[in-house]
Amino acid sequence: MERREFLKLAGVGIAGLLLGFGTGYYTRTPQLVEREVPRRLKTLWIYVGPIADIGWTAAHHEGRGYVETRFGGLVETKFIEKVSEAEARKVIESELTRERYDAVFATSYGFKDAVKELARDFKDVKFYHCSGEFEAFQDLPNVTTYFAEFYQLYYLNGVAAGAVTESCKVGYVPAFLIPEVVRHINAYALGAVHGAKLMGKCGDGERLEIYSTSPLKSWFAPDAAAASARHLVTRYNVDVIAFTEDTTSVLDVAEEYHTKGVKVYSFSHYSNMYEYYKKIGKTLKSHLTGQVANWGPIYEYLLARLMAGVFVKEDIWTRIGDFTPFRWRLPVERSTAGQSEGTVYLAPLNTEVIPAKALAEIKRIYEDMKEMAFEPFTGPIRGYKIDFDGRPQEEPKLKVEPGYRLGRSELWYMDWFYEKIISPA
Amino acid sequence: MVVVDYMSIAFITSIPIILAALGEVLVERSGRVNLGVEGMMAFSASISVAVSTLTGSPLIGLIAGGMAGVILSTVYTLTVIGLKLDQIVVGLIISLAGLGLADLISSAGYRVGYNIPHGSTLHNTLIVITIVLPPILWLILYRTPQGVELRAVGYDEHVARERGLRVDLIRAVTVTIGGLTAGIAGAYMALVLYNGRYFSGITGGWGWLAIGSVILGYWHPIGVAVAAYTIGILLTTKPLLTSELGLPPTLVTITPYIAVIIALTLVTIISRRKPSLIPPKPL
Amino acid sequence: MNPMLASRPSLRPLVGVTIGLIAGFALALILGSISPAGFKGMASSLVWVYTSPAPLIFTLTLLGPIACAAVGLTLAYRARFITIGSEGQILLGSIVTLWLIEYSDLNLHPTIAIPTSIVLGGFAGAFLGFVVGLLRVYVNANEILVSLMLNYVILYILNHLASGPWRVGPFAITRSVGEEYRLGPLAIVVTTVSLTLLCWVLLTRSKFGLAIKVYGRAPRVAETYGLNSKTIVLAVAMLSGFTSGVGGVLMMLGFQHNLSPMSVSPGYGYMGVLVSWLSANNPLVALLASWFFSSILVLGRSLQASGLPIGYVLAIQSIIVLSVMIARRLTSR
Repeated sequence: MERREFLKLAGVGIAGLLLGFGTGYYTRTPQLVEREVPRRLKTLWIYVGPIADIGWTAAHHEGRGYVETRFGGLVETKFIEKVSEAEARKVIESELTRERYDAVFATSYGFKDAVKELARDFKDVKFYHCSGEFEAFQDLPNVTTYFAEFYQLYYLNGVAAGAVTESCKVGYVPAFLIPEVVRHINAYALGAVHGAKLMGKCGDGERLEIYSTSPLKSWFAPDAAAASARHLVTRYNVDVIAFTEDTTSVLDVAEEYHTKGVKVYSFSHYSNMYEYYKKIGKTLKSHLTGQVANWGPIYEYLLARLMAGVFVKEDIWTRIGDFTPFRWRLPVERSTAGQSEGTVYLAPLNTEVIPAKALAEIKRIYEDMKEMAFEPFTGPIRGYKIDFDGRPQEEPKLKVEPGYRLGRSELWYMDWFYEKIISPA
Repeated sequence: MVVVDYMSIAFITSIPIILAALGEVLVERSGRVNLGVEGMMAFSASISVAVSTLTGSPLIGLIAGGMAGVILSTVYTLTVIGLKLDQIVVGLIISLAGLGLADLISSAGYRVGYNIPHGSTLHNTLIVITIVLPPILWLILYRTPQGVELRAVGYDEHVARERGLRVDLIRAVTVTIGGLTAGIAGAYMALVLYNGRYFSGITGGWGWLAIGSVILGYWHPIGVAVAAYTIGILLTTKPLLTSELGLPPTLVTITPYIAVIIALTLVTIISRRKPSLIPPKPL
Repeated sequence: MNPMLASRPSLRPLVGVTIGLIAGFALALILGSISPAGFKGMASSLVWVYTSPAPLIFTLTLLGPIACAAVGLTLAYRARFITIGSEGQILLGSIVTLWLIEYSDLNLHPTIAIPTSIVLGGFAGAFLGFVVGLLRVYVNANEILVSLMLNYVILYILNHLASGPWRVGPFAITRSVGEEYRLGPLAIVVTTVSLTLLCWVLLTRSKFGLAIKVYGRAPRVAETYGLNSKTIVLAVAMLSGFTSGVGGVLMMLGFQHNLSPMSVSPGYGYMGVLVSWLSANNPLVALLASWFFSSILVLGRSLQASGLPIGYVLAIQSIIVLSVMIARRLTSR
């Protein structure tokens, strides 16, 4: 009796709930333009995080919105958020058996295995894997890899940091010490020395110290990131902090110090936070500049080709200048640094705080970077190998030969810190 | 001087844990436990950001956050105190549902709102409230007839009923106050600590730490406030411990959780030594 | 605690349904207007989830961790041992499995490795349960909080392993278990059903089960009958830990395959807790309810592709349990 009663209750209770469920369903379906189109692409985005994170996933979500508006009714975009890497395979598989999709965008490195397996089973679906290494998909003709890379922007952030710092101490809060983040910390540190030297500060950059805290061990750790940022300020008197963490809580801490009259600066990460606050009429004082990604042009390019019936297996790794309409370097006075363009660009430059000389230098390098005429990782660079907690594993030694420019694999598997970085701080 | 800085940072950071824990003290002193703190905090964080965006006023956002906590605590009042459903399950349900609802509201586009700046009158008021609340609660609990009644309900429900105390009413009141403080705690996290922003998972387990600090502080308002503050210190000095003592970051990260477990075991040992300190029976 | 349902038919469940309806509609209202076209889309999703092979297999795959946690918890909850440590136990079970197969250098053949990992994962979960039980029995430490805190500890250890010593490649992720070690839906269902039957037999057909029930209803009475309360609590703590640990093994071998801070479960352990209460702590019903919960997860994913926020799905699960509990309470009066 107990069970039957329970089932009855559950059944009817759920029927009621599902009714409500359904009502929400249609309201959220995008209003598609009803007209005859030559071929409407059906696309699916898989997000690892919540679209409300203002970081990684939010940026991809904006990219999805970008193609939706650009193509009007020509592309139907759907997304599933908060898909854990464990469930990814089954989630995508179910959806692919339900409806015919032309393209699937898997926006997390951990979706790699899922994409590999599914690309074999669904040969007529094109898979686009974000941040994966192309070697992993070499034997799969229907997989393309793509990524928007930030190390150049981190270098420019560093130049701003080195030019602005009063204490000759800048800091970094890393989520993990994986090659991607290590590369960004190194670029930031090299840039900071450049900035200090330019301004003739901190013994021409000799006395500049770069503190990197121990890794948070999560992409999402707002409280720990905030604690690390406060620690850098309190313990070492750091006054410019860059970071890798998905909630940008480090920027919040910098802003908090500003309201208390302590000048601490930080950056935008993935989304243009300055713009976010500007929309509601607030100006961030602590915002120096930052790294912003617009995945939209990459998606637009891939889908436009697909729509024309073209699929080329490729490995996209965008830097400054890629996917811009005019990718020659411009003179400094007409530089586009700080403006939205291409797939990776600088967040608005804080012209009140960054000295004019440094602004010009940032713009010059930014323009040179468009033609790869300036590369941060050009030797000589000395450094030391680190472990996963950022502990030094050796004495500093020459890591990049003079005049040599690091290539793809050296950037992809970087496991050493530039010698001026103090770690773990 | 550096020590003072760390201590004050820890205090500003631990205010949400202290507030939520103080509300929970009242709930547990009246013989109930509401495990929904985490969900109430997340829900009100989201509401407070949405309301502050819509109205342009962080104060109204803060109040709305408090009310959001009250609304979720009403679910508890109706089901646990009214219908006598299991308090543990209802608490867990409130926690899970609150986290879901919070994301749901923010998915309507409310992510960046108006914050309460550090050092503003409103922020200072909240600091003062957090400092004076523990002694006031102590006075209420131990020096007023209502406080004695409240504790009596927590010690022995049946005796309290026989003496003619309105057990359910007292509990409804404490649960509502608990909802209010958890709501303000959640709103504080979003409006003060994260510059007026909401993001998924904003509370990051602090609601659970608040419940832990109730036991860590031995159900005494002042003790609980100190306990919550101690947890705040552990959370904010994490990087200091790794850099100065060279401890592995993971070890430092799990310390607050281990501390709560150790405290839970010590509680019994203390109450065995001093029978006068027997805690209420909320569980 | 959970009184048996009234044996005579009653109209009172309608009240529960009404509450569920109102709650569902309230949520829908937050989302926007109500439209008849929504029902059509909903209906097609519903039919798809319960008839097509891919979602059915997905549902059965998810059943592993949720049901294993839930059936073990029914025993614990019957004995009034309110642990919510199943989340951490699932994670530990999966960590141990990955260690055995990929990081232990034992290179066991799948026919040995899979049963060994099930036992090992189960014992790992049981060990966590034992710690919680021990603290409860000897120092009367509250098991809810101890188990919850342990969940966080295990989660951070997992993040440490995935981004530190076990990391491979340029991102924070471990090696994956080989194809030959992975389990299909059939193996998952067989393991889950066996565990369920084991728990059911223990609860209804053994002296131990009777002891659990007596102890849960009236601990003092149980002691006067000569039942050792310490043994009972420790036993259910370890049993529920064991089943949750096995759930973790099924998660690792069934669909997770590797560890990363991003592959952490969306709370299967907590769902197990909800399911266990939904079933009035009856293992057989819990299995059924777990299946139902898994199917809602799958349905939720599919509705999400149609634009439904995931928060809605999570809120729905909680509200279902709450409305069923309310309905059950009202019918039992």
